Order: sequence, then structure tokens, then C-alpha cells
Amino acid sequence: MEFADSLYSTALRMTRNPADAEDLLQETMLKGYRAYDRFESGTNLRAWLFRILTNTYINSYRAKQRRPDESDLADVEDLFLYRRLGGLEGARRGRSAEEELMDLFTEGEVADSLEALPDNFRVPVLLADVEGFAYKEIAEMLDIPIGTVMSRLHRGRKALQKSLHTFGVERRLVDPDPDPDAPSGDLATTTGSSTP
Amino acid sequence: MTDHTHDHQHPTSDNPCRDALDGLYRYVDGEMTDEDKSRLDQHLRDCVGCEKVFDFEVQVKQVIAKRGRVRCPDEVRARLVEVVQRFSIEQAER
Repeated sequence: MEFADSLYSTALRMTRNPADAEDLLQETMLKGYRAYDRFESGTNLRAWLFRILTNTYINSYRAKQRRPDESDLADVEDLFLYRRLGGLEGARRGRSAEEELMDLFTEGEVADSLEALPDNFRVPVLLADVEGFAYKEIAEMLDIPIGTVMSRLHRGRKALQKSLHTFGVERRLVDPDPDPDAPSGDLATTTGSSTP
Repeated sequence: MTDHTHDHQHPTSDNPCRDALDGLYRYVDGEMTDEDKSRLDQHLRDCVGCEKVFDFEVQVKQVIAKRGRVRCPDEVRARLVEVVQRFSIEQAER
């Protein structure tokens, strides 16, 4: 069960619920075992299992999902987060940008932001950003051209960044407005909740 | 230093920063040819503005990867092993 963690993780973000994720994981592994004689040794077993996972999700689960539609994906400017948070790095307490970003975005917020993406964008983003697959592997899994993988990643990531930024604003960890003249927002957490 | 002038797919542009940003995701995703990557690395050494953008996007991707992963719960893993074992036994009995 070498790939159980990453398959389950992806299944959960695809289906957005633990019961469906478990079913999808079991179905994927059983299909993998049944088709194992068709697996070409020497090729990437993990990518092969992810292809089964992705296809099973698209064919069996996607239909019953209440999902955000592709047209719901707002057009977001390039470098959305960088334009708002790009000054973070190293400035505070000698910490790295990665540490700052890890503080800023919780597991729950990253999960919610990923799950808010429409399927067409969410699946490529999951495969590239969380699982680290190459464009070519993702193109084969989804049976779409590499150019389409790239454009979906581009749009999906921008929407993801915007959604993450919104969480930061809600928790008052970042400024709501990228006004360069405004006093710089401190990362110190405010005690009051700002949830509307 | 040898100058590679046979870059037919990269006509020299008067805006090197724009050219660099066009390759942002391919760079972050490790999808560049060695030649494109070394050209871009050279630009990043020369241009602090672009270097900051590229570093930031690399960090964002790393944070998404770390925060986006969940472990498969033990009970889910146990049931998966059970399902697979049952399947193997059925196969063996055939």
C-alpha cells in the first residue's frame, strides 16, 4: 500500500468527502490489481495508479458531485499573491518566505481553496502542485493536450491564490487592499474574529 | 562564453522580464529545457525584481504541496488492505 497516502489525499480533494474518497481509493486499488498484467514494468507505477484514480473519479464520481461550474472561475490577474504578499520574505524575524506562507495558510484553508476550484482546474492543480506530476503525465492521465494542462494550471493557480488571499484577509493576517500607500499590515494575529 | 544564437523559438525581445515571466510556471514546475533554464537563471541573477517573483512562486508551490497533503487514516488503510486481501484470495481460488 505504498501509495495509499497520496492516492487517498488526492481522492479526498477530488470527491470532497471522506466516504467517497475511501470508496474511490478502494476502487482504484482493485482496478489496479485486476489490470496489473497490463501494467508495463519499467514504467511509473505511481503515475499508472493515478491515471486509474483520475479516470475512475471522472467517470463515476464527478457526475454526482454538486460542483462549481467552470464559468464560476473568475478571471484573476497574474501574480495575484505576489503583488499582495511579495514583500514578506525575510523581513520579519529573519524567517523565510516559506515559513511566513506556512503560517499564513492553514491546512484547512488550502483544502477549502483547492476544493472550491471547478473540476477541470482542480484536478490538474492537485496533480501538479500537491503530487508533483509532470505536464506530460497529467496530459496522459486526463487525455488532454499538454497546452491545455498548462492553461488550466495557470487559471486554476490564480484562482487558488485569490481564494487563499481571501482567507488571510478574513483572519486579518493580510491587508484587504493592495494599496501601496496604505500602512503595511502587521502579520500579528488579531484576537477578534472577522467572519461576517 | 559561447553565445547560443540558434534560439529560433525564442526571438530576442526588448523586454527580458516579460520573456522571463512567460516561462514562470514551466520554471517552477521543472519543465524547462536545460538551455531555457540556464538562460532564465542568468536573467534571475541580473534582475532582482524577477528573482523575487520566481522565488515567491516556488515557495507558494511548496507550501501548497505541504499543506495540501493528508495522510490516509489508519482505519481507511486497514479496510483497504482487507479489501485487497479478499480480492487476492478470490483470485487464488479461481
